[in-house]
Amino acid sequence: MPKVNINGTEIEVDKGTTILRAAADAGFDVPHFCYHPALSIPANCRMCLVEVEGMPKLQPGCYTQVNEGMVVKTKSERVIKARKAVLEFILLNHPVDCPICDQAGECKLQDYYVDYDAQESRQRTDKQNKVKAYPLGPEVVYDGERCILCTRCIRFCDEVTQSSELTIVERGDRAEIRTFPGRELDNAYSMCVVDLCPVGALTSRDFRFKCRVWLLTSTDSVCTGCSTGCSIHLDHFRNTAQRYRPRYNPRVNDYWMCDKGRLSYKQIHDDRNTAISVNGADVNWHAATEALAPKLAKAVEDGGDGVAFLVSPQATVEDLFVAKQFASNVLKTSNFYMGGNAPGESDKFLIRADKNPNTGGIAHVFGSMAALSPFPALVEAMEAGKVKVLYMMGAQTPCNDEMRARFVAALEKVGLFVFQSAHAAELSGKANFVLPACTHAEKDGTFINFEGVRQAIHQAFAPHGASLPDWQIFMRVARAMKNPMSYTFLAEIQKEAFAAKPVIEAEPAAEQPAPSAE
Amino acid sequence: MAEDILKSIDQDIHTEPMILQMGPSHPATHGTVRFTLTLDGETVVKCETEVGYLHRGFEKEAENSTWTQVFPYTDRLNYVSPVLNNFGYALAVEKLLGIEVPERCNYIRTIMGEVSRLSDHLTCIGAGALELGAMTAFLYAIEGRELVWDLIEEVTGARLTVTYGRIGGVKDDLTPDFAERWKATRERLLEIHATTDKLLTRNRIFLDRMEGTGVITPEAAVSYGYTGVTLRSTGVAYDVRKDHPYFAYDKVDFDVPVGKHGDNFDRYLVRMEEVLQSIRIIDQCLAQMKPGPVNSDDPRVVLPEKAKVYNTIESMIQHFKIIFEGIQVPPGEVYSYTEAGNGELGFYIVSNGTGKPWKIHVRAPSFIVMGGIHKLFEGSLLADIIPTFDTINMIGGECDR
Repeated sequence: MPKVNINGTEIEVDKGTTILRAAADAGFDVPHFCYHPALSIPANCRMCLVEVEGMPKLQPGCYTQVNEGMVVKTKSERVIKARKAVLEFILLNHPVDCPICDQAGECKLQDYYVDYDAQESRQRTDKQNKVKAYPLGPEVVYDGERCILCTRCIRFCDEVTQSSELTIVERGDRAEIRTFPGRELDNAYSMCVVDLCPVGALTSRDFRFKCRVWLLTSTDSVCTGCSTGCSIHLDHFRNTAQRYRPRYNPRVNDYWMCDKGRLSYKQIHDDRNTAISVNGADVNWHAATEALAPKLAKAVEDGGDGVAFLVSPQATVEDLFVAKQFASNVLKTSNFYMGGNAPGESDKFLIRADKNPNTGGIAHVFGSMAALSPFPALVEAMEAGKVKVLYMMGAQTPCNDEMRARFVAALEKVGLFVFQSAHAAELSGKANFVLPACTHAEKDGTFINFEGVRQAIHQAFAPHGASLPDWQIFMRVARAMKNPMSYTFLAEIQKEAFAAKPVIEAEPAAEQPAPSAE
Repeated sequence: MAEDILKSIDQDIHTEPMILQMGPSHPATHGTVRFTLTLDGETVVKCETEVGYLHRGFEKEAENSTWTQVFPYTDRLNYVSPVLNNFGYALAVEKLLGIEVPERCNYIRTIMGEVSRLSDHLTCIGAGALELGAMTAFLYAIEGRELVWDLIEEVTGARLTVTYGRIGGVKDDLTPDFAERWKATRERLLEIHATTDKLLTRNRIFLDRMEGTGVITPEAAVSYGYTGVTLRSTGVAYDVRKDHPYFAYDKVDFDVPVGKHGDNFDRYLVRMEEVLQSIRIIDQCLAQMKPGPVNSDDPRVVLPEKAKVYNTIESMIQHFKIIFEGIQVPPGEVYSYTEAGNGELGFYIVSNGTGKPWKIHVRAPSFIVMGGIHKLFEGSLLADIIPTFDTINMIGGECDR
């Protein structure tokens, strides 16, 4: 364990630690562009140069490992001068793009210029012109003039996705990032390079010119695209989700997430159920539950066999916990069927075949998946006329198009179809009761991923229209049926839901990114 | 016979104190404030003051604005002399930042501050006369204020909500013909001053209403924390400009007029004299000041020139960061005070090192005065409230914030 002295602070670090890391531990930020904790270290931006006593030249802090007794200065006059020089070089050919640049506001070049340079331009010649808005792939657009050639994107494609699409072409001030001939930046994680880019050279085609970043509010959430459940920042503006960004979580997704998941934020606002309707008529919650209660009560009287309950793995653990209680105690049925999205593609990195974020939550709440019958069994029962009442959570069904068509057709044979969902799909028009639920962006809750990692999601904005979290809808219906449940706060449900059986592995306590992340 | 009847009635009248609500919207209380008066006949026995009717939450609003965005809010503190508030706030933030403004800027701040003080004093004198029925004097004083506002408008682009101050300087230099225009304005102001003086200072009706009314002793004034004209009228010569000089006040020669009795008439006289002193200060500043930059050269604080912003990335970034994230003021706290129209205007500011103030507290001179105003009312006639409330010059925007 070597001991080093950084700006007068003694600190003991592991052998092999770089100066940049050791300085971060000691509480000193060393500015850097090309260094990223998850990637290899090329030490090419020279922004992290620090002074090491006994070494004649300044050393790159990201690359140089500490030795016993090393004395490092990160704020000396020489270091400050070197940083100013580096920034001046980088800014020489940087275009005056801030007003039209998506990165403006979260740009390291801007931050570092103000923190470490803050001197006027001395340039008397024209800036070098390079490509603008050059598509590297279907999701990523490149701006050569803004690029500072830190090669983070190249290293990401080499080391993380190992697809090696990118390289640098040309030399000197004409150097640019390009794909290899005949290649496209089209791997499943291509948009991660947009997050990695410290400047605005790589922009997301989806987010380009959509919203200025300083207007966004960021809420910690979880991607609902598959059962990996990548930790995300849900960035939103005026009650609308604008983008997802991966949130560092070493237990789940590190710094990354896939493009499909990243773009799945669009589903939050697509095709929403926002009004409560009873046989096509818009009503309020009170009227709807009062109309629904006697009908459900009659079905319960007739015996619970005719009641089928479709459970969605898109819902949170809390929703599922209340759903189970509602079905068992109020509807007196145990005919649970599995809903959610149909399985899809998978890979060996982050993408899982199970396209639901909370299948683990179903297993947790219902004990095991065996408590639920598969979806085709429901369709068969409906076609046989055995289902009198269908209570459906979520609009998704885990089946192919043919089965879906059979399901939709079989809805005609169901006496009472209660459709509690955030999305309308083609089902709202067929439902006797449409109860609008809200999406994960509009409520708090918990997801349990395929490995049993428990992650909290947080409410980003107010529920759309009249929608409510699923558990609150169950509470309302139960109350109308004179069989109320006693929850007021989500914490009460959580206490019960996680008391019976502790989750396999709890969410890691340290949610904060490692020092000097990004 | 007749006298006997009156006598018996007099003896039998049962009197008891009457409670009278004065305000919050009383034509003679300029500024919404409520007095709950207990009257014995026409004499005020007790006065309970209630302020806050013009509360906008300035101090809270400031917490959600960048340091620069606070300026428009300061305009609305003492809205009769907004420039003084601008500069008071700017000085406080500059103290926290530890930056100095160029010499010319100090002169400009002194000049524009005094021009603004003229507007404050002329309004107070004119309105005071008006409230006692002297419409003519009011018109003269307000003409003076209009001339002053024309000057302010020429330099700042606005008459009332000027937002002229900037952290590290001012919005713009004085206009090239400012000195010339001032010369013309000055002449007329002196005429107006002389005319108002003739109309009021020896006017029997005016004297009867002003002399000996609204009296406060120096001891009481100091103990209540009074500053400004209200304090100086009692004979205490405290003026921030003289005692703790800032801007260019240490480079100019001016007197601090004081009164003797602490009554309304002394406050009127002090204001009248301060109008002359302000003119004197402006004359000296214009003679002394030299051309030069008006803004600090600290790139972290002052916006770069537009030509550089549009043409170099360095200045573009600097502009962008200052506008969107605000000036980064180091963590710390400061109390900074200047002499505003009504007394010591203090800004207590706490920064947590971000682009927005963590806390701003304003020591509003009007608010402090209102804390002890019952001392000036109690024991005097109800009618005396009108001139007294004028000469202490409570400004709702500043008092209630």
